[in-house]
Amino acid sequence: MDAWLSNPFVHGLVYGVVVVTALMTVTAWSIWFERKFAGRMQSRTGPTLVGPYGLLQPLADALKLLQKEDIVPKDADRVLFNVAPPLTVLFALGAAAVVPWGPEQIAADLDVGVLFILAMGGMVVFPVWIAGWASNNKYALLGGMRSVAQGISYEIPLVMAALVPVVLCGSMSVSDIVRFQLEHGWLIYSAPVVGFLAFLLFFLASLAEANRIPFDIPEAESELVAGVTTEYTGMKFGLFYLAEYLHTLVISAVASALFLGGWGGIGGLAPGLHWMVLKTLLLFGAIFWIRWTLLRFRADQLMTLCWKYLVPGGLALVMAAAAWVHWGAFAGTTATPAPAPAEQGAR
Amino acid sequence: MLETYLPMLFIFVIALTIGAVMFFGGQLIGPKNPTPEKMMPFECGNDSQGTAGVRLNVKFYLTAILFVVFDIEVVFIYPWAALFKSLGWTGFATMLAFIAALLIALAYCWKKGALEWES
Amino acid sequence: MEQIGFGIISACLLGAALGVVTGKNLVHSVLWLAVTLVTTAALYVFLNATFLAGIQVILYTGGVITLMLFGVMLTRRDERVMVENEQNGRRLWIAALAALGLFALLAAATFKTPGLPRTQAEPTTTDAIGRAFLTEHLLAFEVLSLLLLAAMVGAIVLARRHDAGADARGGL
Repeated sequence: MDAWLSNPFVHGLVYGVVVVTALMTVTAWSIWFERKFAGRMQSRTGPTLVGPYGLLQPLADALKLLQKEDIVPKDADRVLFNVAPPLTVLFALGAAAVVPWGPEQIAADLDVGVLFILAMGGMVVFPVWIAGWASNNKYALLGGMRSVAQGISYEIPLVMAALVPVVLCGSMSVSDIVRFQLEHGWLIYSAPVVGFLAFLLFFLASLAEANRIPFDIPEAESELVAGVTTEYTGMKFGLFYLAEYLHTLVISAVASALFLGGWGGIGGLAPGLHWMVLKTLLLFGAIFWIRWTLLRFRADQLMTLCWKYLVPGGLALVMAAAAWVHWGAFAGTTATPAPAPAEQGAR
Repeated sequence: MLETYLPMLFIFVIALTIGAVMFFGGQLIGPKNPTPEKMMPFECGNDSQGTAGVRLNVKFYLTAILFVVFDIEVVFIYPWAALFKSLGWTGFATMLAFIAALLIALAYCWKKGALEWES
Repeated sequence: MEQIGFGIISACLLGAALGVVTGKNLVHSVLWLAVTLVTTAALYVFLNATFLAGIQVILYTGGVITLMLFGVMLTRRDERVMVENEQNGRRLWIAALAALGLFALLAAATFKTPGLPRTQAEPTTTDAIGRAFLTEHLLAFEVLSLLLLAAMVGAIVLARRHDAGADARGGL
């Protein structure tokens, strides 16, 4: 049995199935959760009819989408129009491959894990742009162009924010970064101001890349009909919807690993996996909370925020992190985990 | 090698498969009843005006250039960041100079109004 | 096992590259180019150069392809940008000759350069790359930043001049 399981193919297949199934399931029911949550925030009850507490609502939604007519508009680029929805799902899920869910539960422990996450994040804009272009619709095209402009702009602060843990921990492997945090405390507080600000920056830029409110310009239903998804019907629209939630879930997991100590828990109350899942879900919930609280930015405000505030801020953060390491707190802790605790007074 | 990349490959394959299954499921189950009106580009109920080939703002292109330049610079900081701790003062100073060039570039863009989107 | 993987990826790479040159639609060609670049990154992974692979995807696929797509969007005149792939004999011959010459040149250079890995190499650690940047090639590294600065200045000058023109209006 053991020999059979350690066959790389079987091992890989099991990992792939488990990770993807878990993420898909959480995503499906997060849609139920969001509707309930939004309902409560607006003094409604949310879905109640399908199953107890409306718990079967995601299944009903999926069945409904499956029964809708599939329309490809006249003059659309058929192939690209059809390729885009599955591709969004692929790129939204991709980064999950290097997220460590526990000390052992990591699909691919790359030595350049952080770069891989950023690369996947950068690829997400392509299916969206393809969808906008292939639709042969003005609104869809504008949505696609905006989406790419926004995606690439926010990629810069994202790369800078992800640079901070790399500087602080001296490694690009996500699991190394988590292990460093187990040793020295979560980055969000162990490098007091820098860590927290970097976390905020990472979170904001990720939200922008996942096109979530307050950054959901590509959809902007009040000005662009439904943005890139204008011409999509039935399950193809459903795939875009799914990909957006999947992406949000994956970035929650990435942020938990990079800044919130990953699988590290408080006092060994539960195995590492539980802590990681808990942190991920809390962040994921926080994103819903933000979504139903804030309004959407205007497209130009969005770009201004990125280039005039977040980019210089990100650069300053990187230098601050370098200075923080240089003058004390974590110095000399790369190779041998030094017993000396982080000196809070060094600042 | 295999142990590292096979799980990743399987995640990709399974993600694509799920996407494809949902995609074809929708095509199989859904009704097919195309009418000329239904196939028109959607413009809130009006007939479509002109083509989708609207002339786009040159700002988009400028943003892409800014992105490429900044991205190259920031990505080159990564190898430095990973071994920063063992480099000491020289490493710190080197990177300060590198980032200073980046800041000058940003300041220039700002001054020239390349970051303004309002107009 | 790795040979099979290498074969599959190389086949994809060649197929995508063919897609780039034979496509009639400019946007399709650019997207095939994106596939080509990603599969090249996969080849880097086979050579154990993971950092290079990451950079390849982030910079080339993420950045340069976007730039090309935007360029196409800016310059297109009609609904779909078509390029004519003329199949006339003389041009085909010239192109084939040029391609062959380039191939011979690259092959010769590859075989003459000592120390290139023929199969899977020792992992090139990011550490080594960073160290090379900051010690041996320090000057090149710093000059690179100035070069990028110059590129940016040039881009802005060109774009601003275009902006002053009459048809600079367009949707955001």
